[in-house]
Amino acid sequence: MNIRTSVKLDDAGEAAAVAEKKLPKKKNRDWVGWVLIAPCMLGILIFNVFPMGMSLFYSFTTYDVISPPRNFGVHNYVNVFTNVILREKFFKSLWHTGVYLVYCIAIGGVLSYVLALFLNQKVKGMSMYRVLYYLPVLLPPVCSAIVWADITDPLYGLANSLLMRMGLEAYPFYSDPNTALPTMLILGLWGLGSGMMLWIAQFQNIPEALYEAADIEGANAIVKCFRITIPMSTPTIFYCLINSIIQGLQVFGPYLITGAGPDDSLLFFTTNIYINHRDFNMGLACALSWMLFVVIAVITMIVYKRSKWVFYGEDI
Amino acid sequence: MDAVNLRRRKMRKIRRGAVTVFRHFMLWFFAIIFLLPIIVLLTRSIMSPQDIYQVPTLLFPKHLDFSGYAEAFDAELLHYLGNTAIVVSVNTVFIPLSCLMCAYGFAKVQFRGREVCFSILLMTIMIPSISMQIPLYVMYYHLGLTDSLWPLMIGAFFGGGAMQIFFMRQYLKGIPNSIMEAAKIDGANSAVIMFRIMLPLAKPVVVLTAVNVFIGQYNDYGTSLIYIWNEKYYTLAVGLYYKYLAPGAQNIDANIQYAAGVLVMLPLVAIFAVFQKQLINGIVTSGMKM
Repeated sequence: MNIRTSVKLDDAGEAAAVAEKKLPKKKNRDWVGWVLIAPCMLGILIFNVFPMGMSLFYSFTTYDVISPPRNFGVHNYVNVFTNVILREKFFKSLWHTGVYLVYCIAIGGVLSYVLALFLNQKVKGMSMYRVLYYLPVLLPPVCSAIVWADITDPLYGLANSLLMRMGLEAYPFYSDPNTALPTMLILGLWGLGSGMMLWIAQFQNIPEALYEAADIEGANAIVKCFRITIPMSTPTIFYCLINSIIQGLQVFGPYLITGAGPDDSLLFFTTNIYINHRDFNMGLACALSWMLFVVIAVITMIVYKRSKWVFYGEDI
Repeated sequence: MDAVNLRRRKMRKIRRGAVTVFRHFMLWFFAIIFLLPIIVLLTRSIMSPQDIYQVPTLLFPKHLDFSGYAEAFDAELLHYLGNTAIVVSVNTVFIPLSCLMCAYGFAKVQFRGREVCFSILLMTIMIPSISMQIPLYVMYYHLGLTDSLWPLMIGAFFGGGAMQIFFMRQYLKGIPNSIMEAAKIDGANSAVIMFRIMLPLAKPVVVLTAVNVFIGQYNDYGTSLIYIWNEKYYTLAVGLYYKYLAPGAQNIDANIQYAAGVLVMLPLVAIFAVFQKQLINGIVTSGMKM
């Protein structure tokens, strides 16, 4: 859900909505609207609603695309928990995804916030710095896969060469099951720029008057941060939280570099689904993806329900 | 008295200058760390393989060697680029258009069932894309469209996703109704209003959507990885993946890989350079309205 879109919904938008209702009703002109939204609604029907239904259906069958679905029953859901290999893979992928989710929310969120504070100083040329910090996010995934695969090469890589020059031990990176996940999490830090931009945007939305008032009262920087900046950033915190949950649970990992990693050490929930899909275990893959959907929906719902702490401004 | 004041002022000036220098130093220090992958990509693309595989390896090239570019820029790369160009241009043209049409319907046209349709649209944002992948694959398979570029493009004619439509609608809502009403009085019909009035007014958001779609499609590898097996239809992302990274790929000298990486990055750099302002402003405002 990497959305970068300009939005201008404000009082004017609300006023327009009110004005619209006052428009004199003429003859039945509903068809104009229906024609306008028809392509998109059709798209949603074909590409969202229908697939979700079919996915649910396939999840109760054994299906390899070539021959028609057979073997109706809940065996896919049962097998995930009873078959030794499938169960091991399932819990492994669940554990890795969970670790990644926590990392995303806790470390990713906090560090991008700190980075945003760092890049929110009043220094000449700050916008240039922000672009520099944001650039790695724009690197095409296949490029960054090429770069990181080579840098982290255990034998010839730049990273180990530097570590050794500093007198440290070589690190196996993606080649060892124990270090593959930490490696991915560390390299993930180069993507902090995307979160940072959101925070900076939120900071700029905080009225300067609040800080001026705090200055008059004699508040120091830490107090201002905790009493003004953070409470006023709650909408963005909330947005980032929801986004991290939805995106974090769908993490695909550095599949381009190592696939599912040595000894399945980078097997995530989505990777597991993809591999089953690739091997034409469509029924099982569908069952897994429905589980993922339910998990995402439930967690998102809980977070939405408990969102009273979000402060959207006085007027709402 | 004046001399003391002057000296004090000078000291303060120096101290402030030192703080500024320190700040810039820190900013540059971290910037270089963040830019590391890009720096490595650039420097290694002009290194000879001997320099790259030297242990311990060098950070900067001893002598420049552009042979990687000559090797990377081959017929295959051009072929992949051609496929990517087809996919990206179809998406970049048709998603903003179909999106605008739909967003205009939701934002400015009154009709029964609008709210219901809109809430259905919003609900689809939550569905993980992987959940729909398999039935879609089955659908394309039975239509005989797997192993072609169609699965990467068909969606473009249908709005290309709820998120884009949602943000465009929000933008259009901000355009005053009076403009449309004036046009209506002058006898303009809905099509005229959309293309002659809405499109120019919504240009910023249309451009932003187009740029985002371009970047997204250009970078996308997941979809191509699923649908495309035939080398004839490889896009840049999967093409390079199968050529350099996939298990069983040939061992190709790193400088060639890096050179290919730089070549792949160039179009994005160009796009970013041209639309930097819109993109940054887009990120800046998107977080506000969730």
